[in-house]
Amino acid sequence: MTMTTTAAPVTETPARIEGRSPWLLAWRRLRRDRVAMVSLAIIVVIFLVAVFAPVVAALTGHPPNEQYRQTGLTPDGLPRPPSGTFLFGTDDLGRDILVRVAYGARVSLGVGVVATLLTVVVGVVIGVAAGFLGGWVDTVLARLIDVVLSLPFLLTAIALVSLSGPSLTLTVLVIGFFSWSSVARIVRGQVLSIKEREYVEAARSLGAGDLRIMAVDVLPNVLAPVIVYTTLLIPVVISVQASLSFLGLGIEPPTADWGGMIAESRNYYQTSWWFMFLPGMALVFTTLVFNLLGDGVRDAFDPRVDRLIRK
Amino acid sequence: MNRSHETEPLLRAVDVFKSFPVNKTGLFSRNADLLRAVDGVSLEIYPGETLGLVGETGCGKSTLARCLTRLHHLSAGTVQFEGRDISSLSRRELRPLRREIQMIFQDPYGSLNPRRRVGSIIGDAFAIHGIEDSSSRKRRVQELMELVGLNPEHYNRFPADFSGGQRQRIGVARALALRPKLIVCDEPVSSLDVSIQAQVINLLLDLQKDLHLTYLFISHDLSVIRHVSDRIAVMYLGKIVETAAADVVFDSTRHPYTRSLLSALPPADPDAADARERIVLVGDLPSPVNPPLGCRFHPRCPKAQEDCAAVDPPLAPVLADPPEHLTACLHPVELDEDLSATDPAIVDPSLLNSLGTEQGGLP
Amino acid sequence: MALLEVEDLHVSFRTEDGVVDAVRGLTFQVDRGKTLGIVGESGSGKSVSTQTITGLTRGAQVSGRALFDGIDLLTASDRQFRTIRGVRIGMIFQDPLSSLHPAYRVGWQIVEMIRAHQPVSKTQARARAAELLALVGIPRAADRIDDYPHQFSGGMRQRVMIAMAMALNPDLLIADEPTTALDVTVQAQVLTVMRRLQDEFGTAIILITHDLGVVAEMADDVVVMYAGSVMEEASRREIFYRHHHPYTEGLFASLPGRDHSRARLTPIAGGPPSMIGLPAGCPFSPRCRYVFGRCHEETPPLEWVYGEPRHQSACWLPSDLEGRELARGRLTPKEVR
Repeated sequence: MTMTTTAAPVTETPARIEGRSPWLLAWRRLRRDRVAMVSLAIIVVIFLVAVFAPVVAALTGHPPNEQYRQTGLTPDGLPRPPSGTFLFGTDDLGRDILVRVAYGARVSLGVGVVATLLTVVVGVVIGVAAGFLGGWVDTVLARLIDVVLSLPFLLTAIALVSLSGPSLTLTVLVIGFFSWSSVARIVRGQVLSIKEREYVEAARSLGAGDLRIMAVDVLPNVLAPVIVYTTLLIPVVISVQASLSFLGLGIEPPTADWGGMIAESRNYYQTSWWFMFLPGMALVFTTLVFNLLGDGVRDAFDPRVDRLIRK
Repeated sequence: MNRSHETEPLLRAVDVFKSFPVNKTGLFSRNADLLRAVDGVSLEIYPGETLGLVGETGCGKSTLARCLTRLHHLSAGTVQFEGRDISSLSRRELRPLRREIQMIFQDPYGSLNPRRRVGSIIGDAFAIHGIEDSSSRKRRVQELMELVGLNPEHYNRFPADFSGGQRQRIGVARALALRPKLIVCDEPVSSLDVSIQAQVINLLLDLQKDLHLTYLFISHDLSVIRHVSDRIAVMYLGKIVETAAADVVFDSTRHPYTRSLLSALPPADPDAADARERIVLVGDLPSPVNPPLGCRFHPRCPKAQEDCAAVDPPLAPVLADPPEHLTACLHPVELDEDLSATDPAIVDPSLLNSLGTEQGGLP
Repeated sequence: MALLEVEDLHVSFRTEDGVVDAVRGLTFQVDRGKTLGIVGESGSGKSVSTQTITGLTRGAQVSGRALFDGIDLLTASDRQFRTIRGVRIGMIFQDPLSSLHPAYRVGWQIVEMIRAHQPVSKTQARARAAELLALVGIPRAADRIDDYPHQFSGGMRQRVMIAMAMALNPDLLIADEPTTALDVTVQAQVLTVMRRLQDEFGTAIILITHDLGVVAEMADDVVVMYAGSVMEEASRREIFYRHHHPYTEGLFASLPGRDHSRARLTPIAGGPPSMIGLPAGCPFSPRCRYVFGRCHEETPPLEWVYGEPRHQSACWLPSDLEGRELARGRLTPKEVR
C-alpha cells in the first residue's frame, strides 16, 4: 500500500493482549466524543419525559387535553403567557403547553423510533436480498426501489390521508413506505461489494447456503453503516412526522403533538410567542441532539483522523 | 510426499473451459465478449502429492482452482473427484463434497470476516454441516488452533487482533476442520513477509505429512513452488504449457515461456544473478478476451516460427521426453540452448516503436 | 562526498494506541550513480524513512539530518523543496494506479511536470514526454502519449512512472517497492529499464524492497533494516556471501528453493515487532537464534565487522569471522517451527 502523503506508517500489527470486538471499539470511541455523549444524555432525558408525561400532568395538575377557559385564557380569549401555574403558558384553547409538549414527545419519539425501525428492517432485508442474490431478484427489487423513490411523497401522503383520515398508524406506514427504499439502496450497494470478499467465497467453499451467508457473514458487515444511517434517519422522521401533522395529515386532534401545536399557533404567534416557540424549540432541539449523536456514531464507526493505517 | 501413477488420481480434470462474458451492452446483449479464463485444461492430481500450479496474472490459475473445487460452474469439460463426475452437480449435491475439498485463500486480511470471532470462523464448517454439538465444537476448534500453531485461548478474539501470518494459520485451521482429502492453496503465502512465509510453508508441509493431505498449490512465486511441489504445471493465458515433476520442469525446461519465467526470477545470489541467462519478454500479456491465434505465446516467444501462428500445439511429450513430461510447443527448447540470443522469425507489429524499427535491446 | 547522507534519522508518530517509533536512528549514504538497496519487511521503517526525507510525511516528530548535496532536507523550506523534489530527486511507488492521476492523460501529466520546473513551450515539453516514454520502452510512444493511465497494463504504468520521475533528469531516483505488485517477467522488464537509465544518465537509485533477488540483481550496496534501525550495511557481495547479523542470516535461511532441496526451511521465529514501546536492548533479540544476556540489556551500535571498511553490523556477536563462528557454535540455536 503506498500513498504520496502519509500521516502514519504502514505496520504489521502483532497480536494484541485482549480481544477487542469491533463493536466495543466503536462504543469506546463514541464514549470519548463529548458532544455525542451529552446528546445521548439529553435524548435519554427526552425519553424519560415522554414516558413520564402523565407524571408531568399529575405534578401540574393539568391533563393534556383539558381546556381551562377561565384560568388558562385572558379575558380577551387569548392564550396566557408562562407563569407560575402554567410554566409554558397556554394555547388557544387554554390547555397547558408544558404538559402538551411532554405528551407530544411521546408521539414524536414513538413515531420516530417505530417508523425508523420499520424502515430499516424492511430496507435491510430487501437490500441484502437484492445485492446478494443478484439475477432476476435483484433486477425486480432494484426496479421496485427506483419506482418507490420516484413517487411524490407529499401528494401520496395527502391522497392517502384524504381517503382514510389522519391517524398515527397511517403516519408511521406512510413514512416507512417512502423511506425504506433509500436504506435498501445503500444496503444493496454495500452488499454488492461485500459479496466479492474472500470470506464470502470461503463460506461457500465450506458449503454454506445463501441464507446462512447472508445472515452470518453479510449482515454483520452492513450493520455498521446501517446503524449510522438509522441514527441519522430518526431526526428526519421526526421532522417529517411533525410536518405531516402541521399540514393536518398526521394526528387526529386533540392529541398533543408538536407539529400540530405549531399549526394551531399560526394565528397567535404575534400575540402569544410561547405558543409557537416552545413546541418549535422542542422539535428543533430534539432533532438537533439526534443529529449530533448520529454524527458521533458515524465517527465512531469510521474514524479517519490520526488512525494507524493497517495493511 | 509420495505419489504413484499406479493409483487412481484423486482429482481429474478433462478439457475444462471457463469463460466469462464481459462488456455486456444491455440486459439481453448478444454482443458480449468472452473472457476465456480457462481454455481447455486437463490435469490430474494424485493422492498425497503436491501439484504446483504456476503462472502470472491473467493465466487463469485462480479460475481453474475454483472450477476444480466447483465454486464456479464449468463452461465445458469435466471434473472427476475420486472417480465420480462432479462437473454438473447442483449446489445441494455438492455439499457433502465440500467436506472433501477445501481451499486456503491468499489474502489474510480479506479471507476472514472481520466481524466474527476466530472460534466461530474456524468452527463454521461444523455449524454448516451440523457436526458436533456446541460443547464438543469448541474443543475441536481449539484442537485445530493448536494444530496450526495458534494459542487456543485466543478463541474469542477477532481477526484484527492477529498478524498476517497468524491469520493465514486461521485460514488453514478453517480448511482443516472437515478433514478434507484435497486442499487447494491459492497463493497462501504471497501476501506474507519472507520470514513468516517460511513458517507457513513449514506448517503446510508438516500438516500434509501428518494428515495425509493432497495439495493443489497455486503461486506465481517459482522458488516457493519448487520447494513445495512434487509436480508442476505451468499456465499461460488459460492453458497449461508444460507439466512435469518439479525438478524436471526446472532443470529440463522445454517450453520457451517456462524458460523465460525461470530466467526472469532473480536469484538471491549475486554471482548467479550476474551469470544467468536473461530472456526478457517483449511487450505485455495479451488480453484473455482475444488470445492470439495458434500458439498463444508466439507473439512474445523468442523461438517463434511461421507455423506457431497457425497451429495450437497439443500438450504432449516432445523430443525424447518421458510420458510424464508434457509440453505444448512445436519448437521446444533443447538442453543447454541459450534463448537470450535467439532472433524470432515473427515480430509482433504492435511492438515496434514509433520510429518504425524494432526496439533493439530494450524490452 | 556522497550524494545523500542520512544521519541518525528518527521519525515517530502519535497514534490512538501510543507513540510509534517508526524510524529509530537510521544512518546511510548513497553515492552518485550507484544503487543502494534498502531491504526490510513490513514495519521495518524503510518506506517511512524515504518518505520523510522527501518531505512527504505529515504529523511526525523528526530528528536527525539528511544532507542532499549539502542541503539538509529535514529542515529545508518549501521553496527549497520545490527545486529539489521532482527535479533532482524523482520518486516511484509501488502502485502506479494511485500515483498517476486517473483523470488526466499520461502525456499531459508529464508535460505539466516538466513545465512546472522548466521554461519550455508546450510543444517542446510534449516532444520530451514522447521521448521519455520511448526511452522507457513504451511501444508507439508518440501515439500512447494521449492515453489515460487505465489504458496501460501494470508494467507499462510503472514505466510511465519511471518516465515521469526521470523527466527532469534527477540525480537520485527513489523507488519504493517498484516491482512488488508486478509479475516476475514484467518485473524483469522494469528492472532492466531502470538499470539502462542509470547507465545512460548516471542516476543514483535507492531501491526499497523486501525481495532479496531484486537486491542481488540491482544493488551496489545494501542496508538491512529491522524495527526502524539498520541491522547491517555492506556491499552486495558482502551481504550475500559474508553476512554478519543474525537477522540477515535468518532472511536468507527463510528463502525457499535456494538449494533445491525440500528440507524444512529455517524461518525466523516469532512475528514482527510492535513499534510502540520497543523493549530495551537489540530490537531483534526476541527472535534471534543466537541471543545472549547482553542483547536484552544494551542496544548494539553499528560497528565495522570483518575488517571491511564499509561493512557494518549492529550485533553483539564478535566482529571477526572466526570469533563469530565460534560464538555461533557455542550459542544453542532455538528450535524454530
